[in-house]
Amino acid sequence: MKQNNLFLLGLALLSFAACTGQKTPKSLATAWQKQHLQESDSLIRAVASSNNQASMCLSSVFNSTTLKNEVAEYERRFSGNPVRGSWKHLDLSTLPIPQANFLSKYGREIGDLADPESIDYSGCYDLPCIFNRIYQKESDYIAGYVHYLWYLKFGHYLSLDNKVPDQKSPTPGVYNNKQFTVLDYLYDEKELYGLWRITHLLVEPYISLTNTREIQRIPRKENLEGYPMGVCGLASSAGHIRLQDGCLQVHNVNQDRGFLYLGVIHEMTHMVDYLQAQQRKNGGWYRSHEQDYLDIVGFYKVEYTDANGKLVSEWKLKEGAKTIRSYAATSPVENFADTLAYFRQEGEETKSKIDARQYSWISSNYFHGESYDKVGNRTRLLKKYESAFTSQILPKVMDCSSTKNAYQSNYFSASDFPGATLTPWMLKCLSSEAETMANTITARVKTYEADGCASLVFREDQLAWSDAVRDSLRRSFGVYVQEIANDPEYLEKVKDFNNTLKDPFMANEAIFQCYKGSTKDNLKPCYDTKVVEIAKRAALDLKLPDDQATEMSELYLRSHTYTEVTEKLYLSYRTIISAHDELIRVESEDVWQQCLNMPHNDDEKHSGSIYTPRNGYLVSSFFNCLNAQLPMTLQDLVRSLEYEGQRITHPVEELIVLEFLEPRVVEVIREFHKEAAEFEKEQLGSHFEEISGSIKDFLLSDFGWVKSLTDRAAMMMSCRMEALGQIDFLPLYHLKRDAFSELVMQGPCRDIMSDPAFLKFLESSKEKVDREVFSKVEMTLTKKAEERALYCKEIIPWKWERTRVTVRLPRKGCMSLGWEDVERAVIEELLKDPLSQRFKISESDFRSKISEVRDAVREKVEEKHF
Amino acid sequence: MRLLFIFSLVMITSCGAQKSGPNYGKTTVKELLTEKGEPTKEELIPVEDSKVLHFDGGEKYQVKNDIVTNGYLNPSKEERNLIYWKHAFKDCDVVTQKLTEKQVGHERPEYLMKCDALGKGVVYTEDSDIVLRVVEYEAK
Repeated sequence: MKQNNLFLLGLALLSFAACTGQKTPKSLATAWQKQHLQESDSLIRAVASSNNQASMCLSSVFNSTTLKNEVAEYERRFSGNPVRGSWKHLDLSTLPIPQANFLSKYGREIGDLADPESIDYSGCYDLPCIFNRIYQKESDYIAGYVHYLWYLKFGHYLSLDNKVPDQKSPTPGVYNNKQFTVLDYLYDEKELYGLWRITHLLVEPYISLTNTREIQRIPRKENLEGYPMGVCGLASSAGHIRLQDGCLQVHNVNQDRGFLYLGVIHEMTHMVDYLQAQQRKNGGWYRSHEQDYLDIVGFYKVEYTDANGKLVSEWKLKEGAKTIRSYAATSPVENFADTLAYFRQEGEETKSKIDARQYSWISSNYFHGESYDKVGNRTRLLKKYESAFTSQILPKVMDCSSTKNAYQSNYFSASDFPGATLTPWMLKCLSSEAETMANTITARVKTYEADGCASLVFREDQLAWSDAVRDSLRRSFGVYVQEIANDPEYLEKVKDFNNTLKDPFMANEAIFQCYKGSTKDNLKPCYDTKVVEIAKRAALDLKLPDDQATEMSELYLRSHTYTEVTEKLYLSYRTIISAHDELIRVESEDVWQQCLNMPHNDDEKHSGSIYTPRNGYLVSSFFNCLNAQLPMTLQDLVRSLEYEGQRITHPVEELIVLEFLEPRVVEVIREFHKEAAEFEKEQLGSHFEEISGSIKDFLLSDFGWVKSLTDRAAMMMSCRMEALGQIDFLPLYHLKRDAFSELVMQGPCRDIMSDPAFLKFLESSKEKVDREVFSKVEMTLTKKAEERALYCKEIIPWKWERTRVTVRLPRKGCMSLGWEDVERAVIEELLKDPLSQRFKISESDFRSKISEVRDAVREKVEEKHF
Repeated sequence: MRLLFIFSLVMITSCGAQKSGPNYGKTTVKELLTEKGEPTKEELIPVEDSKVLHFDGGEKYQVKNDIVTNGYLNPSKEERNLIYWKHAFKDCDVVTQKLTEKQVGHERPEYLMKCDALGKGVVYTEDSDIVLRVVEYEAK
C-alpha cells in the first residue's frame, strides 16, 4: 500500500508539474533553494552541545563558533563563477563569492581611509580576518563574523572606516572638528551582540533593502554633526544610516532590551519607507505619505503661503490620535519608523498604546500578519516549531503504536485523547516522546529565537507557554491517534506526503501566482489560500478523501509559511544577482558608454524614471538615452542570469528578479555618473580660464546687455546671462548655469562696472541715468512703506473675532506716526546709490520727487495690507 | 539674448500648461469652482482674508478675498523627478529656500526651489531626487 501511494503521489506531482508546466515554467529560485537551503542548525547545535539548556538565551551562544557556523550556512548558498580581480594580496577568485563580492564592491571603503596602508592585512585570507585587523583583534574575534553576517543577511554592510557619509570635513578621521582613530568608529561587544540579534529579529522587507549601502557608526561620545544631542540616528535616501551612541545601547541580563533595537530598526524602517514608495510607483517619496497610512494614524498636511510670501508646509495630527510616543507624532515618516520599530521590539507596549487599526495594518502589511506581544510571540513560535516537529510526530506515533517498552512520563493522560483506544504502554510512550519534544522546543525557543527569553521572563509567561506547547502537542499527536482508529492506512499516506513537504516548488508557484507587480505588496492572504489550493490539488490527485487532502495541504502550508517562503525566495534572487555582479557592472558600463558616445544637447525634456541622478545633473540627451536603453539592458541581464546552467524562463520570476536587479544597475550607473561629474568639475575651471578673457572683451565691446542703468543687481544678472550665452561648452553632468555662474561673477562680470569702458558708456547715458535714478523713488518708497505696514500689522494683529474694519484705523494711525522715518530711510538709501553720488543728485531733489508720489504710494500700500 | 530667454520661458509655460489651471492673481473663486467643482474642504489659515480650498487628487488652492493666489498640486508622472525641474528652470534665476526652519527630530528638511519668472516652485526633500509638491503662484 505504501509503495502504491508513493507511486500515486509521484504521479500526481508530475501531472501537476506537467499541467502547470506549460503556463508556468520551472523557476530558478526553486532550483537554487533545493540545492542550498537546509534547516539552519548552527544554533541548534550550539544548544545541543550545552549542558544547561534551560537557562540559556540567545546571548549565551554569542561566540565565534556559533557565528562561524552561521557564516558557513550562508556561504553554502552562494555558487557561480568565481569573482575576478584582486584586493591587496588576495586573488578574489580564491575567496567564497560573497567575500569576493564584498571586497570588489567595498574593498576601498574599509579601514583607515586617511592612511589605507596603515593596517597590515597580510596573513588574512578571509573577510572576517580582514575585518578583525581593522578592530586590531585576533583573526577569530566575533566582530569580523558579525560584520560579515550582517552583509550576508541584509546585503549592505556595517561600516568599518573613519569617514562618515556626509561628514563636513573632507578628511577621514575628522568629525566635529576633532581627530579620531578608526577604533573610535567601531562597535563594542555589547553593540555587536545587539546587531547580531537584529539579524535574527528581522525578515522581509528588511532583508531586501536594495537602496541601502552602509550603516556607519560615528565616533564614540560624539553628536551627529549638525544635530543636537538627542538625535541618535539618521537615515539617508542616498543609501546610508548613521548611528550615534544613543542608538546603540543594550541592557539587561540577556541583552535583549535597549534602544539599540529600537534605534537601528527605526532607521532601517526609514529605508523601507523610501524603498517601498519607489517600488509602488505611486509618485510619493515615502510610503508613509500615502493616504491610507495618513488616514489610519490621523495625519494631515497644512500648506499655505504666509503674509510674507513664505511657504508653510507642516504635518498636523488629528485630535485624539494615538501614537507610540510623542516623537511619533512629529510626522508620518517618523511615526512609521517609530511604530514599526516598537512593533517589532516592544510588542506588548505597542499593542496597548497605538490604535488597533494601525496595529493590525502594520501586522498585515509589514510583518506577515504576525505580532510580537506576548500572545503573538507565543503563537508564532509555537506555529514555527509545530511545523518543524510535524514530521517527527508521525514516526513517533507509529513507533509507540507497537511499543512494549516501559516509559515513565505522565505528560498525557487517557482523557487527552477521547474516543481513541490506547494501551497504557502506548499512552506512556506518547507522553514520554511529547515531553522530550516539549523540552527541546522550549530550549530551542529560548536559545535560537531572538524573542525567546524576552517572552519567557515571568513565571506566568513560562506557565502559559508550557500549557500552549502541551496543548499543541496533544492536538498534533491526537490527530494521528484518531486517524489510526479511523483509517489504518492513513499514516502511510501522510508519510508519503511528507516527502513533498521539503519541496518548495508549490510554495514558490503560489507566490508567483499571487504576484501583482511588486513584492512589497502584501501577498500573504493570497498566498495562504493559493498554496493550500495547489497542495490540495496535488493531494487529491492521489485519490485521497477530501478531508485528508485538506489536512495534507494545510500541513504543506504549515511547513511553508509565507514569511519563510518569501525570505528564501528573495534570498535566492539576491544571491543569484550577487553572484553575477561582474556581469552587471560590464553591462551597465556598456550602456553608459553607448550613451556617452552619442552627440549631446540639453534641449529636450527629461523623460524616464529608471535612472535619476540623486544630486547633480545630467543633460537631457544623456538622461533620455540611459532611460531608453535600460529596460532592454535589464531584460538582457535577467535572461543572462543562470544557476547551474538553468536560466530564468518563468515570466513572473523575471519580473520579480527585475525588482532586485534594477537598483543594483542604478547604483552602478550612479558610480559612473559620480566619477564622471567629479572629473568634469575639474575640467570646467580650466576650460573657463581659457575663454574668460574673450568673454570680458565681448561684454565691454557692446553694452546692449545693460537693461537697467541704476539697478546694480539687475545689471549683474544681465552680465551673467550674457556671459553664459557666450560659453559654447556644454557640460554633461552639471547644469550650465550652475557650473559657470560663480566663475562668471568672479571673473568677467566682477569689476565690470568700474571698467573705464563701462564708465564711459555711463557718462554717455547721463540723461537716461537721471531718469532711472528718479524712477527708483517710487519703488523704494513703496518698499519702505510696506515694511512699515507689516510692522504695524504685527503690533496691531488681526484676530479671528475682529473684522477688517476694526483693525484698519489703528494701523493707519501707526503708519502716520512712522511716515517721516519711512521717507528718511528712502532718501538715505537713494543717496547711497553710487550713481546718485556720481551724478550729484541731492536730498532736496529726492524730497521733491517723493512729494509727487507720496499720497498714491501710501494709499496703495494701506489698501494692500490693511 | 533677452528675447531668447523670454521665448524659452514662454515655451516652458506653454508646454507646462497642458493642465488648465487658474490665472493666479486674477482668477476668482467662482471661476475656480466652475473649473474644479465644489471643494472637498475649506480650511482657514492664519493669513488675513485667506483660506485654502481642497479638491480631489490632493489639489489645494489658496484664495485671498475672492482671488486665487496660490496652487499646491501633486506632480504629474514626469514632474516627479527633480531633474525635470532643474531643466525646466535652467534659464531662470532660481531661488532655493529651506522650508523646515525647526529641525523636527532627524527628518530631512524640505526645500522649495522656485522660479518667480514662471510662478512655479517645487518642494523636495534634501537628498532626494523626487518632487513632493508643485507650488504655483503669480509669475513676476
